[in-house]
Amino acid sequence: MFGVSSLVVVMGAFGLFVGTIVLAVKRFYKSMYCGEGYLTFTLPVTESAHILTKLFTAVIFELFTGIVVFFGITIFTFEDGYAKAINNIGEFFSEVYKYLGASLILYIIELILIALFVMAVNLLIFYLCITVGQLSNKSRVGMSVLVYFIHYVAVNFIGTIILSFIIAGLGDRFYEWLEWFVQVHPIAFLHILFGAGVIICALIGFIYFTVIRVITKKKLNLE
Amino acid sequence: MSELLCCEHLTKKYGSKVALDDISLNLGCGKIIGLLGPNGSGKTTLIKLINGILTPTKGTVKIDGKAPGVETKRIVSYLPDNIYLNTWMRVEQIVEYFSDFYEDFRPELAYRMLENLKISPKDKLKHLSKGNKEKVCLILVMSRKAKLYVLDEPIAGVDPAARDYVLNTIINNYDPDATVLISTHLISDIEQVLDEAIFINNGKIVLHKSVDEIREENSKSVDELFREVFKWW
Amino acid sequence: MDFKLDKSRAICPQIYDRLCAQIASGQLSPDERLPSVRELALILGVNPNTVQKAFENLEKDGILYSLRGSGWFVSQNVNKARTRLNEILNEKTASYFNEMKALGQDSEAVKNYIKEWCE
Repeated sequence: MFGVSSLVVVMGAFGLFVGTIVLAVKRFYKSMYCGEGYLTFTLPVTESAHILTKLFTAVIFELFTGIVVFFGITIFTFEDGYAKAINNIGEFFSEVYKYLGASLILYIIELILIALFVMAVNLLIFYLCITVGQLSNKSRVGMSVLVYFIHYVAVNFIGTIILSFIIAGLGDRFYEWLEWFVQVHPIAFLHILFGAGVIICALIGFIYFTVIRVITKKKLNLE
Repeated sequence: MSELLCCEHLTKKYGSKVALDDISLNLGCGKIIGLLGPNGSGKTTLIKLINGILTPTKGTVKIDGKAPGVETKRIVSYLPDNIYLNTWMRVEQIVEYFSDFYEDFRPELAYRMLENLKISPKDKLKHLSKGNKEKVCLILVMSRKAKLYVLDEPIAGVDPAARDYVLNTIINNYDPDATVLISTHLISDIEQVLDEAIFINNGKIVLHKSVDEIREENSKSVDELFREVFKWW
Repeated sequence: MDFKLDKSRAICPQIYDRLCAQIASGQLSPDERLPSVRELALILGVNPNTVQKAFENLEKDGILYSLRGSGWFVSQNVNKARTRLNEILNEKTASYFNEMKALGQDSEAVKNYIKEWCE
């Protein structure tokens, strides 16, 4: 009984998320590359502004959906014991705070940033596929889907290769040093890790954004 | 007076198909100019290039000396041949939208024109008749104090009374600092309003003269000359 | 003020001629104010530049005068307008006569037709 309803809740939450992304992507496609594109691209607004505003709105929506889903699931999970659960969590966090101090807040900020950037990059991947898809003269939607698959395969393939090289390339001395560092400065290590995550995500996002912007500026193909 | 629109060796190809073939064109200020050609002659391609929603294969297009971009979009007011507005909006919302984005938009003028047509600002665009939707689009475009107005087939698919309305709006909004470029294949209805005519076919400019010159040299109306020139196409 | 225009001839001279005719025949009186360029353009459904040019040509020939801020007015001296009207009427008569001749009519026949028409 509990199992079935929790399954439904999880599927519902998943559906909400997917729905938000689908809506955001559809909105992007419609306003940029359909009839509405005539209005959009004759506005005295840079391509960057167009892409960023849509991205920003979509991320906010996802964030909002995420928060709603989170509360929905937690309320469902804890039901009557909700107040008690909040108390427990509160106690847990103050214990952790005693140990970590300000770093806890920084960690939370870093994780939130990573989450935001990851959401943004996910959306940008879809935007990019659509943008490349509209270059085609025949089936724009079909082309977009094709690009998505190619991108997926390519990223996984190249990403795995690059990672393997990096991991193999970093010699044993590095791993020894790393072990020492993690043991001696665990808090700093996590900061570096999360910080690197934020920067890498932002960089990837920037690359995708730039490609979309350049294609939109140089090779617009409205119908 | 500097050239408002200047195209040099402008070419646009779609794969192997040539839509515009090495076009060179200069338009001055304060004129109403007809871009006249049969369907598929390259009129719409040229218009899209002027508006920056298409990029040239070769050559340049400059509006007021600048390549199409944010600066030119500020001074070019475009009426596409299809309705592109968000139909879920109400008329007053789309007026506000234009006010927000275009500094040169004059809402008082827009509302006055809407009132003359008995279109209520509270109406939803999707509930308007097709004719009224087109008139709203025209009003929005002409309510801007732009330097170049580009109207793509403003009177095709529109009843004769509405055509008079379109022409009157164009005459009424005449501004010696601005130019109106009207692209159409329905010439006899608009030729009285034109200063100059450009004949275009197969992506090439066939003729570019003042309309009175055309009439005097040929003893024909522009429409008659057009039919003659394009008889075999 | 609304007159039908022949699109197979330059429009500016047609406006010029028509205004001359109206002035010469007294439909427009000396010192009477004409519609503004924009108003007349709207009435006729033509380009304001065309009306502007016609007005300017009429001013150059002394048939109209302009007052900055007030508009265009009919000159006191209507002789030039009359002269032009005469030219036009002669041209029309000559053209009519030539056409009738081309249809095989001699002067007598033409006179008779006109007489009948006038009655």
